[in-house]
Amino acid sequence: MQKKCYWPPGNAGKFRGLTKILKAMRLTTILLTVAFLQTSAAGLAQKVTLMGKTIPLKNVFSEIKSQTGYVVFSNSNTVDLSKMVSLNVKDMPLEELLGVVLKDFPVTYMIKDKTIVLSRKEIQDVPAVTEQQAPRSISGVIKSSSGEVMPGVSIRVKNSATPMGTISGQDGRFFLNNLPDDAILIVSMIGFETMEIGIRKSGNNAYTAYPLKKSHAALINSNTGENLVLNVIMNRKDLEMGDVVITGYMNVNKGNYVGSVYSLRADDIKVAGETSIDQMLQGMVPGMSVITKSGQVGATPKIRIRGTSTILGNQEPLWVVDGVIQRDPLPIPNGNGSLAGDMSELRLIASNAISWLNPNDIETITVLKDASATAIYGSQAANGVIVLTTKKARPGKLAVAYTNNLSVGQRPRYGMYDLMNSQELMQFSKELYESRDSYTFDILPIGYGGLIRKLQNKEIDYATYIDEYRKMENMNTDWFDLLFRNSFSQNHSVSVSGGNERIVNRTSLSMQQQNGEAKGNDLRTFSAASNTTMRFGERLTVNLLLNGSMREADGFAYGVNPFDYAYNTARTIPMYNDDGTLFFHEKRGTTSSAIPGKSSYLYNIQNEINNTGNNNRTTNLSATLDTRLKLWKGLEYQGLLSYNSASSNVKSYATELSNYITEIRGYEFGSVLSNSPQELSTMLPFGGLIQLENATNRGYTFRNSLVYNKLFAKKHNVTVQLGMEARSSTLESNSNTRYGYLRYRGETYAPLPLNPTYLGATPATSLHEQMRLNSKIVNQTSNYVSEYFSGVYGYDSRYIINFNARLDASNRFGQDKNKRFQPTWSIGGRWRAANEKPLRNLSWLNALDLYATYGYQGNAVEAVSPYLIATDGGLSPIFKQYVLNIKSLPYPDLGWEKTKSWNLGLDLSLWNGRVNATANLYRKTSNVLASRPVPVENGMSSATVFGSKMENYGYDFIISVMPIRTADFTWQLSVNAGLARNRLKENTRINSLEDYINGSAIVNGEAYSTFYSYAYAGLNAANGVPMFNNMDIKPTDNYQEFLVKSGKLEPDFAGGFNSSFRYKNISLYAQFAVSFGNQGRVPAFYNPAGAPTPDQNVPRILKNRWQKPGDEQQTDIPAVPPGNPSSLNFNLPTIAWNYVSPYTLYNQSDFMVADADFIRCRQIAINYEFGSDFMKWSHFRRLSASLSMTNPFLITFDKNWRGYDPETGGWPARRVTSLSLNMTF
Amino acid sequence: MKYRFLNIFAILGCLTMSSCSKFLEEQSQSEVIPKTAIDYRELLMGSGYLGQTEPTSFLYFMDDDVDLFLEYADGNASIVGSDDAVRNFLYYTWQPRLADVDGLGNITGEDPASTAYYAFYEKIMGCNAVLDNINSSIGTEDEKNRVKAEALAMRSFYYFRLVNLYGMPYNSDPTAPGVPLKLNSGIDNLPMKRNTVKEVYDVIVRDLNLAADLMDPLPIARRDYHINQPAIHILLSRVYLYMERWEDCIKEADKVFQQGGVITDMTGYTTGYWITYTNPEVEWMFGGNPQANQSTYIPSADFRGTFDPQDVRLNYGFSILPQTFTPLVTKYTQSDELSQSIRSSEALLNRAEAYVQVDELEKAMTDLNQLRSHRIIGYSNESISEKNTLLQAVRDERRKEFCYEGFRWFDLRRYGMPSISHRYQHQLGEAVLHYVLKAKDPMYVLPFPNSLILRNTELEQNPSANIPERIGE
Repeated sequence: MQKKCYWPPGNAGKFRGLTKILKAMRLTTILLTVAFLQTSAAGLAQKVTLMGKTIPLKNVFSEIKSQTGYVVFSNSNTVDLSKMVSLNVKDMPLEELLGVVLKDFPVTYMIKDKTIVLSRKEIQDVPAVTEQQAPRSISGVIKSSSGEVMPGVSIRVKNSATPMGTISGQDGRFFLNNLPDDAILIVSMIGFETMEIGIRKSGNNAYTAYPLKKSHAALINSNTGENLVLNVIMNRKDLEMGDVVITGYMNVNKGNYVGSVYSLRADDIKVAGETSIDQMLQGMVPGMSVITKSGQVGATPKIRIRGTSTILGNQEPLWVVDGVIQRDPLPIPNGNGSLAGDMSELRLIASNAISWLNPNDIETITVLKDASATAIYGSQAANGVIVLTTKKARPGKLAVAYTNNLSVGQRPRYGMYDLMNSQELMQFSKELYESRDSYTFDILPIGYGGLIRKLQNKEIDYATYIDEYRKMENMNTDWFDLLFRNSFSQNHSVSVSGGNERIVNRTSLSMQQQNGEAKGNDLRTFSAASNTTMRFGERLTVNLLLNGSMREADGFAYGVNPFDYAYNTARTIPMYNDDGTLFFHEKRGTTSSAIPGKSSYLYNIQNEINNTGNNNRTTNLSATLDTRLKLWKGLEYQGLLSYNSASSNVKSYATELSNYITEIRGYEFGSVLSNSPQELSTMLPFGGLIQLENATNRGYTFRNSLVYNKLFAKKHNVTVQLGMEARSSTLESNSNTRYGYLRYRGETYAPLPLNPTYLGATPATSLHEQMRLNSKIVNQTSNYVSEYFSGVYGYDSRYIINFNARLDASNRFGQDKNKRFQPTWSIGGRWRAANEKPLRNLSWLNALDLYATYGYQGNAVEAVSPYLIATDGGLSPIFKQYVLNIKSLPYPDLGWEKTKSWNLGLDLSLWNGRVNATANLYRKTSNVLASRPVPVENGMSSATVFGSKMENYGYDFIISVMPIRTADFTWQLSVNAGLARNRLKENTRINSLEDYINGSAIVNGEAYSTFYSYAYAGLNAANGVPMFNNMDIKPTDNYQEFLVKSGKLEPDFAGGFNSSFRYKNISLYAQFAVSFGNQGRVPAFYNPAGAPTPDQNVPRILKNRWQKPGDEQQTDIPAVPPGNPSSLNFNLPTIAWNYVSPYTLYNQSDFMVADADFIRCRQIAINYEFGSDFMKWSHFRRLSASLSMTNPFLITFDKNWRGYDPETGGWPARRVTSLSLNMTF
Repeated sequence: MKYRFLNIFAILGCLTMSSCSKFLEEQSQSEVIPKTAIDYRELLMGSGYLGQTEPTSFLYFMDDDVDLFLEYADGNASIVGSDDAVRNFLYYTWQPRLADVDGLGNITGEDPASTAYYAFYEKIMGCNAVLDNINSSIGTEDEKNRVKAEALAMRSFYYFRLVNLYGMPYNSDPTAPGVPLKLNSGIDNLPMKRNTVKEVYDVIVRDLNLAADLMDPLPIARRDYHINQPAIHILLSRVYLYMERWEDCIKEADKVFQQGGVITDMTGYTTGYWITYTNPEVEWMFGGNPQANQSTYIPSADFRGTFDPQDVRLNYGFSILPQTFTPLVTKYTQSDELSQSIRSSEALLNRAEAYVQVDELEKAMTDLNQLRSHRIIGYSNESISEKNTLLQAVRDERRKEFCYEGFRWFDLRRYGMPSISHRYQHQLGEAVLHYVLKAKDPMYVLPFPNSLILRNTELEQNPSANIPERIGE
């Protein structure tokens, strides 16, 4: 896979920068295409009759069209179509007429087939080189950079006296003869970079072709001779990419844009084995950190653009697809009911706002970072905006493209971690036993512990003990093998595109089947998308997008986590008995309500996986109608109507055979007699649990805007956009929790006893009440109205000023009506230094832009309201009447969070784009609301307070260089990085000790997510118990006196680098993601009580634990505590009594903190592009194959991680090897 | 073409000019800004009344009515050493760390919001929110007065329980620290000091009297789960009894009967489950089951032995499970109902005790006989003329009448904090140990869970947190 980075256009800033810019813009809308011209030139005997004094030029042309069928194409800046001409002609031949009409305009024309192309007359600024004659003829083939032949390319001779040119045929061939001296050919095609190729004499009657721009040297290939053969490769220009910034509301010429944005092409960042675009962005965008949270298939990563700038509000960026803001299909889980926590776990692999979108359909990704870029999105965009556009059809021959991807994922292995095998663990347990170390309370009869107990209770004799010991020693259950697999996944994607100038269409179908490495974790998606552009006349363009997708993911539920189980479970425990049946071991649980004193139940992970599950299904349908209508000179109406419907089903269950349900039931399934007292006393004698959630999210967006774009006096460029937008989304969801689910009996339900006679410890909460609390119907409509304005003024392509503003209002409940409209605005300026006179002539300098922006954003925090807000508690089953519950007390003074930000930026492009760089400096200051613990005497545990100031400052940059660029060999290198330093100020929150330990403390002058640890001071020489500094100080309520700062949980430096080499048809690409600056706690190997329990596997480093005095010199691994470890507990120097175990402190000490810095190789890919010979033979238009490895390795710098993935904090990111084929017919 | 432009402009105009008020009308499926007195009545029910929970059910392990079920036997297992026994061991043996850890070593109450203390203050916040806003609500004066009176009474009820959990008994030291008083719903970030026991009681008395004044003129409603006039007076008589304001106690108890309070004749009962609105004696139902454990820690056999064999409260208030001989308390109602009540019999017993204290022994005897004759089959009136004997008889009757309803611990405190003991066996085969709560033991004033102290730095810890670990003998 090749990697390109798109930069400020290499050539946009030079002599005719503005012209080119405008051309580019207009080209997108005018759609100059000559691809489907079928009629041959039928002579120019066409006659036209036309009379009038002041006929606008455009009317002349439409008249020509209606009378002759000849269509006149022009770039709008070539000639002003509203200019008036005076005519009185009758039956005048077309050519003559054109000569008359255009004589006062600086244009020439060219007629080919039934098309008249107007172009600007060149100013004769190139001194004519004499003595050079023209070749007799010139012919050749034009191909795209991907190897397809290109029909319909216009080849014009720039400096011929009479208009001259041709258009390439269906096979991409062209032919020209009788060229003028020293001809310059202009090769152009919509969507491709225009090339200028000069022809000069290179000897007697021999000619050679040369590119006017050196960068094009690799693209032309010609012989030398009288009849010149010139083969040209055209670079896809990607108007949208190179020159245009896509804000979602408007496509703005990059030169006229002020703001910090970064764009890339989706095709360039595709990572095999990842299923949605958000996962592919890691390490690609400067200033954006993407953190993978789990190695499960389909998991949603955490994305932060330029750091975290709110504590209570939403921290996620806004996703926009083809101008439409995307929403999460599932409602935010609300805190009601005890199963609400489980629900968020179930959503880990649920679909998010953009997982419906097939990555193969995405054309561009634009990340809007600063206030100037995001102001147009108003208050919801405080965390940045990610704008996606989907692929559009190009007019031309029907093209069918097929891409597939076959991949194999590699499961985690014991070799990756430093964990004991069963022999080591038995030895370890034996040592523990023999040194009379002990556990705090009853240990479960598992492993060595169980064995020794049997021996002591004389259940077995010594010989049996030895036998059993040997057997366990050799057990070595490979949990990773049993629970994971080397999975096989496949993606297939087909797209068909083509059309003519009136209507073009691209339709794509895609199918993905991703099997996770953990058995039972699968993802299947199917999607279809269609994009049709229709042109009605010259004014109206309508774009219709249809999209449908289905996504189904299977995952785990109810405490099943295969990775954690495999990592933490002793290998002495077998999965199967000798006879092949599942082996169950005791697992501690809640106290039984049926059998007094019972609190452990049988557990087998496979049984648990078989009997629990989570299935997510999402169906997404959307339609967008995008209309553009030219109203006036430079004035355009843009309208957008989009409708979207997403329905999502989550089904998670646990059957009566699962340990999860056994724990609720209080006894093993089938272990009591029918109608026995135990059965009568359990809450759930039959059946399991099922939770169903169905949500439908329907919404529409309706937007109208007027865009005015005009160039006055060739110097003053004005673009103004004024628009309004209405958005509405209706969420209907119902969630259902049912106990008594009989999965194996036709998925029916068993009745629950109404009044079980509770025998057990505490009268358990009624499951009927649980079901009631966890079942709910949500029916909610959110409406938003916004008005926005954007104005850009550019002077002479050198100075640009821009102003954006937006007002938002919504129907949010309980908001302060006086403050309903939230303003957001920004102002910015850009200086295009390379267009200044002294720099203009530097050939090596393509662009040097400096810009500065400032913006103000209000971010609504929905948690606060000036009113006392109650939630409807419905009919209370206990009070038997309607009740209301307090949701929030009034906060009269809290409105919205305010963010002020500035950004300084630099864009640089040198040597025709061989070196490109962008750098930004920014500072965001937000007045954020914070949740602060308050004395519980208030009746609340925490309250929202204003007054924390959050500062994010830093830089982001990207540099890409192309050290080598020849026809056969290119080497490209790109590095990007973003530093986001965060600091909290003016905080009034009082942090608890736990806040400091777990990183939720808000400390003035420190970054968000800074966490603290106990200061480890070595091991006690007498007993090997860890000791800590500052434990003997005077009791204090300032915890920082005895804690030490350990770092922060969120990285402040994220970036990536990539490099690609291409030698002829082979290219090699490697991409790395980097994250620095955060720390984390390494997995603990001691329990708070000290010794690991016998079902637990432990790392090998425990072998180096303190065993005898003197060991403390060599090791920092504490002794397993002898006797009752609670006797080791001591008081923390807090004012309040805080009696803790040194092992708890050890786990939370600075010794157990490691730097989470990592460099992850995201992918290494090798790609082979089949050559033209093969194409000819096989009738493919293009074929390439690539082999890639995703996440092949991870470099961590702190060896304390012992193989653990510091980014996901557990389940490692997927490692996948893939083979992809890309073909076009 | 011109027409098309016009259309577009028309649409644009319509959308921008026409009022967006309808589109932007606030809407929520489930959220309400309370405005009317009815809203506040519902809000009080949802946020001010105690649902089916009992935050202080741990008191069950602490008084002298409970015993470890060493004799548990179905021929298979013993509860000795079981998790269930170990978990509650700290409460049962009055250990200094009982509020912070359980016997299994698990940390409890780490989150301040999980403590009983918080549970009460959360409800107090609900009452405060209603009291702060009810005056400006829409509704008749009567409607508002009723809601206001209920909120005042509920708040007093919670403070009464709080001050008796964490403060010295009023009759032993009213100037000792009680609990912080928070009497409005505004959020105060500053740490709060403990008010004295007397200050808390003064607020309780003031509010309950105000509640009674507001509600007495209104019709009496029973069975609607809202606290009513007789219940307020019973509560007030209980508060006066604790404060040893005997005359006031008698006066308030009298009002209960003036307002139609009755004593149910239970001698015809053939089943338990009488703590319900079907029992005419019950004025108000609230809260969850105060018995925190049924089978490991059981109603003490000694205490059950003090009942008259003909006492309905013994014969139907307990049911012995045939397999395990577990004595289940069967006076509570079904599991999905509220479990505690304020009932007229308390007025009778409060009054009887007050009568004894003011030396009106005959009146006290009359009340006592009235209750007993409604509880014991074939009871014939007795006469006790010695003050202390009679006082003891009234108190014993109170113990029987309200056992496992959250009364005993508070009564023990009020009776001068006598010494009591519990037996416990750590492991089968080990000796049965006796743990003693000494007379006037600091543990009679419970320690605050540590998390509360961490949160509110001004909250002064009680001495019971710092006593040495209690050792069994």
